[in-house]
Amino acid sequence: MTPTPTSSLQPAKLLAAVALALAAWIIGDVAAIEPPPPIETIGAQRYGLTKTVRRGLATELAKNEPRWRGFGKRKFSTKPWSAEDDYHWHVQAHIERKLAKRLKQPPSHIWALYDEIVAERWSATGLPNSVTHAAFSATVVPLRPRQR
Amino acid sequence: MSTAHEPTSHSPLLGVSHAWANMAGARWMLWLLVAAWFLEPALSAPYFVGKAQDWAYFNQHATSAWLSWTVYGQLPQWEPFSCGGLPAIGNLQGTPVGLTQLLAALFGLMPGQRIASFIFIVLGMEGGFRYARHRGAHGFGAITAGLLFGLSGRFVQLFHDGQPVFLSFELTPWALLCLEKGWRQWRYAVVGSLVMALLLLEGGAVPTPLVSVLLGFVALLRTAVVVVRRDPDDEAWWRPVATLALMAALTLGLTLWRVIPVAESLIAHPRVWHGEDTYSIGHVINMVFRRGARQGYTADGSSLVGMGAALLFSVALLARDKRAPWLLALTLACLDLATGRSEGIGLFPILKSLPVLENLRNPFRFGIFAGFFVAVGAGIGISVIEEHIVAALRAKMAHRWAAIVAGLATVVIAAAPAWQVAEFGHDRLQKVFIRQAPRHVIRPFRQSIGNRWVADVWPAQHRGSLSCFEEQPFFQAAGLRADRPHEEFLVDPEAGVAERSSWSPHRIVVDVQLKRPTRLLVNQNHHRAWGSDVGSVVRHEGHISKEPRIIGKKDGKGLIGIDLPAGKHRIELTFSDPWILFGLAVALLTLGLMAGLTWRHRATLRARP
Repeated sequence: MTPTPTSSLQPAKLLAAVALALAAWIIGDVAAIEPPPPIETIGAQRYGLTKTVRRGLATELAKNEPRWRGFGKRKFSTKPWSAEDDYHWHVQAHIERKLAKRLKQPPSHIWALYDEIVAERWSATGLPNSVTHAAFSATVVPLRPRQR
Repeated sequence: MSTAHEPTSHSPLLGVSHAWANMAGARWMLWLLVAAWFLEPALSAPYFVGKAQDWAYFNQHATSAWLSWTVYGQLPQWEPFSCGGLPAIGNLQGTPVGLTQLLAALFGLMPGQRIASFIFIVLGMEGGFRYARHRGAHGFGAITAGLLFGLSGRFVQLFHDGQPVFLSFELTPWALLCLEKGWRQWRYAVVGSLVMALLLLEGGAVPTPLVSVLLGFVALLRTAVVVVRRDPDDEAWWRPVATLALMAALTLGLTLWRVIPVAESLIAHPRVWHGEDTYSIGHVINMVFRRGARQGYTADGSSLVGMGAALLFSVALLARDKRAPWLLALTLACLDLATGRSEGIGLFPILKSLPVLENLRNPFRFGIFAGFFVAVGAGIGISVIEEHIVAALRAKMAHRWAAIVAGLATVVIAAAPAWQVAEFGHDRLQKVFIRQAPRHVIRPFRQSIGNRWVADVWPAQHRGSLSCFEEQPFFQAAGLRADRPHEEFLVDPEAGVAERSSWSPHRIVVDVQLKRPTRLLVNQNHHRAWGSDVGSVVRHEGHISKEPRIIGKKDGKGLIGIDLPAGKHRIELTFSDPWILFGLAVALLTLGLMAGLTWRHRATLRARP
């Protein structure tokens, strides 16, 4: 039953070639899947959101900031990094679970707006504003990871 | 007890089994088809990831490295997209180089990562098969071992946990095979070092120490066996440890360009772990053998090879097959290690007392190895059953028919446990890929406040996330801000103007026009490997003019600074780590040495009559 080298030579090569073709086909199939379109970051309808909606989101996030920071400060009163990390968790939960669903937009779009809001330091009125009236901290507490 | 059993001469009645084993093309087709079916949820939706936090974390590092490689054509030494700038090659948790990055560069970031997962699963099955053959399993038994290991529960759990970067654990059988074959032929140690280098360069943080511990344990156990047994057919007692040492030395030579920066960052920012993770032996056994409905790091079935595999292994043990005790010893040791306890054999606390391994955590991952040895033991059990069937049929029917009947019966016996594990994993993977991967946009880079819970969003948007998480307390400059009008700016704005001309992760060009000498600052963490063709790069320690004070009096502390003379300059700021370049040179020399040794070995073989 054990194939001899001469009798098995051609089928073995053929099988190896088929295996290679199969691998190439599977890999090619995965590689051919198109990525989602990139984010529109300029223009009046950037991030797929109107100016009014963008202002509304800035206001919503700004209003929530003190409350979310308060949660972290109470939970991690002696650990500033963890307290801030908790705040970021609330921002993430709100954007990923609520805003993206409500606005029917990919979360990436809302995050791009969030970046713009913080970079321009929009105030709680939802308008780009001066530093004095700005919501959103533009700095972070330096990283201090857990040790247990 | 531990002599390898190369299956060279067997009864012709085992021919069906051996024919399978010897037809590499047919075997590879089986692996490819099984892996494609198993990973179908991952392969059909490459732009979807899981919800676990680590998906975002590891994808962030992968995206940063991918941008360096493919958009900027640079070796990812520095990662500006996280924490205000981190060492990329020097971050143990990062994945800037390795097979996955290569495939991501070839096929796109997300498809490339999925293709890498697919290849690792295939390699795991082939590795399991080859090790089982090396340990004396016949064809069908070895194929079953390959399936059981390659599709085992931990590899599925890695997708749930967002850690497919640790799929390089699938290379474990290859590393072991090279070590064990290296006891008799040095050239396998050379191949083994390539396997270990691939493993280290891939998701090195977890698989490298664990596989190294396993190899060390196997080498010591084999040494003990050789010393106690005094069998003249055994290799010299020093060969196992010497093989391991050669593998380690060559691996180090190949990966020094990653090891030095990682060691430097670990010394500067130690990864400390005081937690004690322990599990009862019952808990570990449930991880390896019991199919559970719940997900979780250490849930039932999270390292599944299944009860069927255990039963088949017990057949080999009950038959007192001489191939089984070695596997049993290693299974028990790995189960003990996975508990993390000092009771029982108590190996894990011994490991923790050793240098470098003191911060080892998550001992449950040794369950992967326990599962592997059980899978190989199951392969031996199937081979024992096959041998008995052949013996029973020999007297009753013609050889050809006996072989076919024995083959079919063995396939039926082998299929059940393999199917149990494959179906369990396949079902679990169906629910993983539900979060859209971040969408990309290429635009001028700047720091953002970011959010570490969705860490992968930021490099995809060409933003650095100041909010970040790492297992090491990497340095973050107090002067980092997410609202600067310009990322490169003068500490004294009245001294002149500075304007970015071009930006890439490792090269920033800025045009400056200065009335008087001043310092140019970059909104990234300082690192010793930054250099400039004009002026000198320093770590800025002072205040930044006209900025609100945030922490103490040194708000700008830790940013990259370049002291510049007055005048008009085009400044080219570059990140180039001489240690990485030195390590790459050593890697090339090591590769040359390995090629030379291989060539010499072949020439010696040819010269023999």
